[in-house]
Amino acid sequence: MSGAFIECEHSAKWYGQIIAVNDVSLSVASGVTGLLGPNGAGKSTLLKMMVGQLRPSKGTVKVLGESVWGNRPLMRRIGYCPEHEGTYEDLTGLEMVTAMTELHGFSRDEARARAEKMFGMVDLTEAMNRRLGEYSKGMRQRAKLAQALAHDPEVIFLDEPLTGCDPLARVRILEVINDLAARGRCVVVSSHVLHEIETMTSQILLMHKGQLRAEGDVHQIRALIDAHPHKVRVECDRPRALAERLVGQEHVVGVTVDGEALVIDTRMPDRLYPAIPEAARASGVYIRALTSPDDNMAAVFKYLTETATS
Amino acid sequence: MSETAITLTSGAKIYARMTWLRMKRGRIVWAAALLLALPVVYVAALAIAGHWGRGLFDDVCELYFRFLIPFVPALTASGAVAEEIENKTFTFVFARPAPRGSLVLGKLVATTLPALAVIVPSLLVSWLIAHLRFPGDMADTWPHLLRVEFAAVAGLMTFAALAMVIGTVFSRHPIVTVLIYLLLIEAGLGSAPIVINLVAISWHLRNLAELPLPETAFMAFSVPWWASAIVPLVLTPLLTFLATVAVNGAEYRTDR
Repeated sequence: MSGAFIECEHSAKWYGQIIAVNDVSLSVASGVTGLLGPNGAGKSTLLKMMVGQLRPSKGTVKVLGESVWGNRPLMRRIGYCPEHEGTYEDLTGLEMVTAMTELHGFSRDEARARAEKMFGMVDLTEAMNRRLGEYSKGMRQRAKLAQALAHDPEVIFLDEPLTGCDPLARVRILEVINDLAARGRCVVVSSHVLHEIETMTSQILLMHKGQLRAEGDVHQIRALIDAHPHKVRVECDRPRALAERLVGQEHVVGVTVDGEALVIDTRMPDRLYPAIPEAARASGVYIRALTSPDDNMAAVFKYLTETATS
Repeated sequence: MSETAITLTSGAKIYARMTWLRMKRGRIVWAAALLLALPVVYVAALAIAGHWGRGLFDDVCELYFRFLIPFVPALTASGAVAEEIENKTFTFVFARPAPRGSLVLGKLVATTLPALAVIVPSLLVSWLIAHLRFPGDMADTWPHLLRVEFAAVAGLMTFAALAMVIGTVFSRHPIVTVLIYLLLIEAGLGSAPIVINLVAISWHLRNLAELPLPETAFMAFSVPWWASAIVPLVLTPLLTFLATVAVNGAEYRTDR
């Protein structure tokens, strides 16, 4: 296995004329690795090949030294948190995670105990007996994380786990991911937001148009992204009140009110992110979700492509 | 770690429980149960109006075999696997070591057992009501009741398996596709006055249940009841197997 938890060799996936993943070769060791790229870059397709839900059209994908496609026993050692929001709306969170854990071969009692422990870990104990259909986006993300971890996998794939999370959920998920890494697990986290990845790891894989464009330290492209205005969208009850608090701060380039959301332009996202909850607290604004639109990464990739061309 | 290997049947049990939990919180299962029990009211009304005996029971059986047995599984089973694909929840279940076939088997059990639990007693009650006026006739007609019950159970399971395999392949519009099949093949060809009506499952169920068959004007020949019994007994496992194969090798996209 040569120390690598995940190995791809010339892996490709295409659907007819569309190439979703194009000749990707990579190797991932323990700890957190960020899979970064704009929407449509092929991140989710690559993750699905890594969890055995898509068969590579070409090349090989191995996890823990074994080929993944059709390898059911290997699924015991893998945890997967998909990107989409679809869940079993009419089941409670606890029922869903218990059933998913049972499907790994645990008895119902043990599966339930593990599910309860996971809900505690993601700070969702109070809501675990509520139906998933009643969960907010952030709660769903945490429930999805719980089902991915309840069987204690060695390799964990998290597809955009922070999308749509409120600040509290975001912090909790980041803590869980860091804890997994500290316990020697291999965690691959996909995101189109550089700042999210930065808070988890410095180790990144950069994808664009189905290809692996770069791998290594996040700080090398950090400088690039700082050169581009970064957008943060805050969904809240009173965006104008929040805007009043934030305008004038040195890391805020501009603000736009878009319905019940505030879109903030910044060149210093690392300073802006902690400032948002502070401003919300001070002005009594309730934040529903924090998202970073895809154009941040798209701008960087556009810049990278243009630089390469010139 | 106290994991045990997860088999086709142990996986199916978990999926069946999960599906049943969800179904009983929805409306379709209760609507289906009501539909399957409705003929009891019909037979009671006709009994009060002065009808009785095997004639009355066969009239009620017409309702079951012409409409309810083919159409109720279209409601309950056609979307069972299809909804996992369309709602993308398959990404959770296919990331488990359980065989994918256990999803099909579990869903089939969860959607068929409740229907059986309603149809078997409701046929029995209908038969009892039909014989209330002359209970002595029961001794002559109970073998017919057994044949009807057997045909109903076999029919529900076959149509459920059929609805499931169609729903798995045509996951976007499972109910519509199953209804098209039922109207074209079962209602259309099944009542055609030529020997081609034998392709309909419902024809064999009626033959098995000793119910009047559609008149065949050309190339008519009789099929023994035991030969008709083979049709659902072979088709149910075959269709379940086909649904399993369809799910096993499938790669479902989530970016649609």
